[in-house]
Amino acid sequence: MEPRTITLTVNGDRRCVAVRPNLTLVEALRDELHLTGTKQGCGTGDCGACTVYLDGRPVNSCLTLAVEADGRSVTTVEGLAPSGTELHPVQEAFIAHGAVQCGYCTPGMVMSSAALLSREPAADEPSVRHALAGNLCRCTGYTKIVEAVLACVGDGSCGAHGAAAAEGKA
Amino acid sequence: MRLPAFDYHAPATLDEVFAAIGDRGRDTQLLAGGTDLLPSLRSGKRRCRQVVALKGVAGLDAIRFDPETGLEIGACALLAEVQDNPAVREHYPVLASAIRTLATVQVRHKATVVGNLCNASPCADTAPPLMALGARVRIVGPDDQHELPLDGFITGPRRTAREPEELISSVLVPPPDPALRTVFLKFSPRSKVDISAVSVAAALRLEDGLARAVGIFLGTVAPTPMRAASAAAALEGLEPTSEVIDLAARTARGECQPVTDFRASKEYKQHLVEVLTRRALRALVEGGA
Repeated sequence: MEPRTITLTVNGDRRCVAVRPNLTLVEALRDELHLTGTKQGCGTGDCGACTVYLDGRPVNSCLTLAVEADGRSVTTVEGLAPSGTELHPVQEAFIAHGAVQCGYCTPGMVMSSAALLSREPAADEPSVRHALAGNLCRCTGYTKIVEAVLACVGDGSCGAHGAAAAEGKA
Repeated sequence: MRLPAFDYHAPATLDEVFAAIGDRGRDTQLLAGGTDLLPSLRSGKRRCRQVVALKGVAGLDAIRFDPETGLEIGACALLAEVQDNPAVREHYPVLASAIRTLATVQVRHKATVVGNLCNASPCADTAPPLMALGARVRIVGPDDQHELPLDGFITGPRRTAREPEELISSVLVPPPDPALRTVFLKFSPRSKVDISAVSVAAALRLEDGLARAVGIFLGTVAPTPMRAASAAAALEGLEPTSEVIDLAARTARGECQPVTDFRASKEYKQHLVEVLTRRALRALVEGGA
């Protein structure tokens, strides 16, 4: 139960951190690496607020041990935007469509939406709803979220960016 | 709430896995995806002194297909990888379609097929379709390995035929039978991200208009995923008329042993078994793949 030092790539940067084996990835990201964009909601893998990419795949960071990320790459919502002055098209679309209410689910929604669009740039509404089924919004503002994601499909802006975020930084 | 404390091992070979387990099998939890393990450790449903992660063991994440020998799904192969595997989609579509309905995108990118089976929930959605395909599990111990039919591997809620010092290295699916028609149906009160209230997998061949090799498997309506042997026998060798299908569906209803829980009452689950079995068999007879 001694802390172990793990080395992982977070948003493109190599980081070393000492973690106890029972620390989850979301706890390590927030409490050790001070990346508080990723939220912990349910802690049981139901709400999706903690969604990050592990080696480019969207996962629940509350269901992942930090030690499992040793030697792997993690992308959080902080790493999604292409630069410090630009947002990811999904983030822009969420703003444009008013797809944010209290905001707690937003980082997870954005991560899941970008992952979908990088995989399925021409996603239709049923695909969007299927892909976001693991992200709960307790404000129940789903309509505008789905509209925002579909707007990215419409303008074709997300495919390349999403793929870059999911693969380039992964 | 934090997870309770445990030691963690991430071995690179099977020998190192068995060395890490040693004689502490009962104090050990094996970690593949962790999507069931972490919540159950947090809630206290499962306890352990050490976690042995399998992800670093070379080869355990493989999905291999050979038309002669069939499909082998390694212990660490993700649900999403199996769902997207071209051979699975082409030759075992019932498995891909069952996985698509299971949990969420995020969970399917972390959880494994073998973990779903070893977790031994009566509602494990990969169990009925894999049982309908005649799958076996490969059990590896420190000294030897053997195979068991999946039908019978799960012995009770959260219990399997695996000994504490053993692991399931893969699940093996027989070579595809182009004439075998298979289907998986499930019902849950919500359409998404919900554990099945009832699931049904069915398989059969039509030979000269007669139903052969009939298999009907039910999830969530007994202490384990179960074979509805009498229901299958009610159809085996017969022309699958709507009367015969109705009888098989009623037989499945009589043979399941559901209990009332927060998902559905016992009576409603019995009703669902009959309805879903009838729909599944009709789909197979009317030209399902």
